[in-house]
Amino acid sequence: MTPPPSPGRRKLRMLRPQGPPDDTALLIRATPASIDEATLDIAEDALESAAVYDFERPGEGRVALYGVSVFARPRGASPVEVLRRFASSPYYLEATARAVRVAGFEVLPTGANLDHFDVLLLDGRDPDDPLLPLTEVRVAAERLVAVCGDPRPNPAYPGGSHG
Amino acid sequence: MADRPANPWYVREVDDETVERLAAIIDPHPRAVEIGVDIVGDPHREDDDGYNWTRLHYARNVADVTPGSVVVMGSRVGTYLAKVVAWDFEVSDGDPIVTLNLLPVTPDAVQRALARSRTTAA
Repeated sequence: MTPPPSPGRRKLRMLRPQGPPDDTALLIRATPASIDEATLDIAEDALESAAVYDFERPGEGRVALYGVSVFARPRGASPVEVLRRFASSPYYLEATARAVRVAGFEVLPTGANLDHFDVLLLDGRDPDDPLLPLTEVRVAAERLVAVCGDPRPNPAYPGGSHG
Repeated sequence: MADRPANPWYVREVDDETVERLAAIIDPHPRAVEIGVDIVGDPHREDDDGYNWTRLHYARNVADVTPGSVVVMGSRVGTYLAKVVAWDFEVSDGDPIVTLNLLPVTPDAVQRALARSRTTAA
């Protein structure tokens, strides 16, 4: 049994002042071999985030955070330096902040980690509204995955077996 | 959570009565059982303090994911080792946020090290 939610009790996400520069490489996701599973994973993660978190948009108030955690690759750093923490995943998806924005997604600077951001999959949702169905969130996740192109082999994955 | 403590041994403990209360109302999560992890969670997530997080109803066995426990967490993305730091009841009394510290080692590497430690020199 899944315990019932406690209505109205939500967390407010901390936002840092500035998003990433356009040329920042963002690790969108460490992924399994299947792109369908990666897409589903992204959609479920955004739903889980929206069930818990809001963020404050100046002049508009609180917005449900249908966010997906992503990590900036510091300038000059190789992918393996970011991917070491995701060594159990054979592939990864990456895109520049510019490409993500051009596709219509906002990149929010969330939390205390300066390299951590949330890609906002769906914007403008009132926190008091019911959660969107997974199918709707998945359509947005597919758009984000399309921005990244093909999954790339994770250089931190042991043995180099990317099955 | 408040600011992340500098002490990596920090744990916010919960009392036995709370563990028993939640264990009585939360069934094993089917996906945790299916993929053989203590709790389903996404390794990408970070809260404001840099901790990973999931929800308690994703546990296979609530008593195995109490603060201080080392757990295998995972999802379609893979399996990871983590230490449970706290249960956060801010959003729910019946399904707290489980705050986790991802450990910078892989389950396979730990298994290999433990296997070596069990091997006595001839």
